[in-house]
Amino acid sequence: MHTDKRTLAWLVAGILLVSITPLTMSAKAFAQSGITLNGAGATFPFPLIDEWRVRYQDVQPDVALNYQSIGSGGGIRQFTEKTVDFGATDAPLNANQTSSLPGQAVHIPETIGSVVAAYNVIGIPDKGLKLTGPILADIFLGKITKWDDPKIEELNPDLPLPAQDIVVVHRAEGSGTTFVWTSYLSKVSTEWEVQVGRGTSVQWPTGLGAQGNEGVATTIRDTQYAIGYVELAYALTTGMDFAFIENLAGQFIEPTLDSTRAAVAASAPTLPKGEESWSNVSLVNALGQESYPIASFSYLLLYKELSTNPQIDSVEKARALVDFVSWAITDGQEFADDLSYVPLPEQVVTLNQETLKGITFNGQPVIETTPPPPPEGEPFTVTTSLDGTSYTVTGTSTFTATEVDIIPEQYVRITFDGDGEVELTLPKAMIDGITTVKAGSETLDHEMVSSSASSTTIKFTVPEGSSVVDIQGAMIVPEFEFVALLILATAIVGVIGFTRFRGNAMGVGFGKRM
Amino acid sequence: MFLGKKRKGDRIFRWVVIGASGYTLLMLVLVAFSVIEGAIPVFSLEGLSFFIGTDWNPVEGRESYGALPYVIGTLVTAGIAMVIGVPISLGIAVFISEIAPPKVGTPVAYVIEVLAAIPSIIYGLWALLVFRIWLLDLIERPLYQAFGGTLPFFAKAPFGLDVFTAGIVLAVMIIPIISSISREILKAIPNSQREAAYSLGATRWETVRKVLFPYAKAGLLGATVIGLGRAVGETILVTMVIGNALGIAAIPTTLFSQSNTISSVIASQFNEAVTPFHSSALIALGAVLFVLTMGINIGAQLLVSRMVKVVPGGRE
Repeated sequence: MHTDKRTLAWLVAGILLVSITPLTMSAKAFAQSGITLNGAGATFPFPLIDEWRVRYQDVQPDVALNYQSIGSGGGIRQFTEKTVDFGATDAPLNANQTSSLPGQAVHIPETIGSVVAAYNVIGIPDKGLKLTGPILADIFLGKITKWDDPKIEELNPDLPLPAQDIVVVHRAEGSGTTFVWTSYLSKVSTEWEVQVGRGTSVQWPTGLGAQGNEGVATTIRDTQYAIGYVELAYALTTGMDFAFIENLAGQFIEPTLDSTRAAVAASAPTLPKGEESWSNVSLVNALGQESYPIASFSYLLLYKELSTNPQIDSVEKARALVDFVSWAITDGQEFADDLSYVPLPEQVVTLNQETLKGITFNGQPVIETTPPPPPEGEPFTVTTSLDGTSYTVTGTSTFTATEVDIIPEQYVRITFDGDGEVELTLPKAMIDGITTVKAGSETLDHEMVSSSASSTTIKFTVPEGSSVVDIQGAMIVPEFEFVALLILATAIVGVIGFTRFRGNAMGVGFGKRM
Repeated sequence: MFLGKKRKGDRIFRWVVIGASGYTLLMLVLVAFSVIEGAIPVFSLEGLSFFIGTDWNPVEGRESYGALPYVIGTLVTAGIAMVIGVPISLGIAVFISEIAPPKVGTPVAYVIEVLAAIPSIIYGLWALLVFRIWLLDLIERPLYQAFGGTLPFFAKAPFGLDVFTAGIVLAVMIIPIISSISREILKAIPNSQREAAYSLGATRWETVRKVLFPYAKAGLLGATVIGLGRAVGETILVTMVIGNALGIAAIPTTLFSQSNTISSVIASQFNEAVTPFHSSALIALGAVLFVLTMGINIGAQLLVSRMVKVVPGGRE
């Protein structure tokens, strides 16, 4: 009996411990990260954006990236509803979507995708098959149903095409890949354009639907005589068989990173500016001898005036966002090759940089804005200590601070010997997540000047006649972990005591009846 | 003093219990409300023909939505699952509770319970990667070769991703559920019933058929309805193996046709439903599913109550 109770109490304590640990950890993560950029949208660029998330830590340790690959449609929705800092989509915004935005948006092509026709036919070697757009359209319309159809045989006289039914595989869910594929089919086949059209999901006349690139790939691999479409990156990494496609110049082009890049370079001179409508931009069936015909941009979406989105609440965050994007389209492109993405050609990078220059925050261009000049005066330093740790506050003003006091878990009180504008740098170990600055009962406007991993710099004006300013923040020493541990310890002791003395507490202990 | 304390506890208990049951009612009302509200745009576009329409075209400018193919797909797959699953489930239940010695019955029952706890996504993956290929090679192709020319039921070259596969995998999923509930129900039959039957000289089969089944009819029907509910609402497993056809192509004309169920259409398309009509149409499908499952449950309730009244010797 006795051991039962004890075991149970320990069990409960353990569960409590496990459940509270993430709380303290997230509090710590919150205290350490400077700015978090939230994005959502297309799944296609996710591996690349995720790579950027990791690599950008080396460039800007204070800026954290959080990207949810929920699909282009969801990305556009969240971007429109201003719940994320940037959106990502595989299809450009159409007229309807543009008109429902709360402000003007810019398109920033951040990578390029191409789609291949993958197949599984015994006897046809890898990349041996040649196809044209109209033939693909007829296959996906259900008009060509046999592999040994005369139209296919004419293009591939040397291949042993079997007299078997073609199994068409397409995506079941809406996807950017489908958008690219149906855009291409619409461009090359009037019948497809009239009967089906282009979109992230369409009413397929025939075939099997499978979930995701993986689902389509698996279905093709396990189904003989199947044909379907997958992202080039996916086909390359999984080693699928895929077809050469005839381009506008009449060449049969193997889908590769290079031939896709050629298509983009050929289309680059015709691209609109970032803030113009991109709804008609299409890389499919591009000009050029070397161009692979089924390619498309994937876009990042930003508001031209970043303050349209209340999530972007400071010029620092606006700058962090634009800095990240401009890093992604330049230095970030070097990670593309390894992940089988097509790096942006130079013309597109230049176009993007022009677009970024036009982005403003509260009417001011974000790039090339310099931080506000420090107030006049002399630097000063004051130090305080609490529980054996000392904290140093530095600042600049025409007067100096004489004293710093920490009121644990409430606020930091700073005493000045004058009034006027002051810039203060406060260590994060002492105070973090600064919310309000108060002189007596009056709340002062304060401006966040900069934030690093270890300190926050704020600027405010000490009103005439006051000398004492209280700064409140989300975290003030003693650190939250300590408080959490205290609560936890109390909880554990409480639970153990309770179960021991009550026997049957909360139904978890075993009473005498057992 | 002791009594007073107890009365107070009783009052609190009463309110807690009332609150808990009020929660279910509130949930029902809230779900109904938001589903109907979300469905309004598509009904303004399609009117009531949404229910009988067969188009599903989310391409902007050509939008047109109809729910009929998915209602049919849902009923057909659930129907196949029941036809295959119910007899097997009852067989398992009878075996464990009536025939097997405890040494065999207990482990079998345990395994069934474990199977019932496997998440459906696991069945789905297994079905997509392994089972459908067995099914294709061992059942579908032979059936097609034997009857494809004569019976319209089998007149389509099978690929392994179709209503037949979906139905069978659903059956595999619901068998553990139905059989473990049925076993409990059969176990609850008083031994006097069995002893009476055997003492009258009834064989085992006669006992099961003429005594046990009639006695437990209502309970067994309830178990079946729970299985049916699972089969109708199952989403991800079906999405993986049904072939996900859309529009008129999703009305299964043969056993080997690709189709789609209501919940799998919603699951596949909701993320990328870009236009307001598209997402509204998906919510309206949700409303149809809501009505469908409610209809099934109410129908089952009526059936159970009628059975209990009509059959003498039925429980209570």
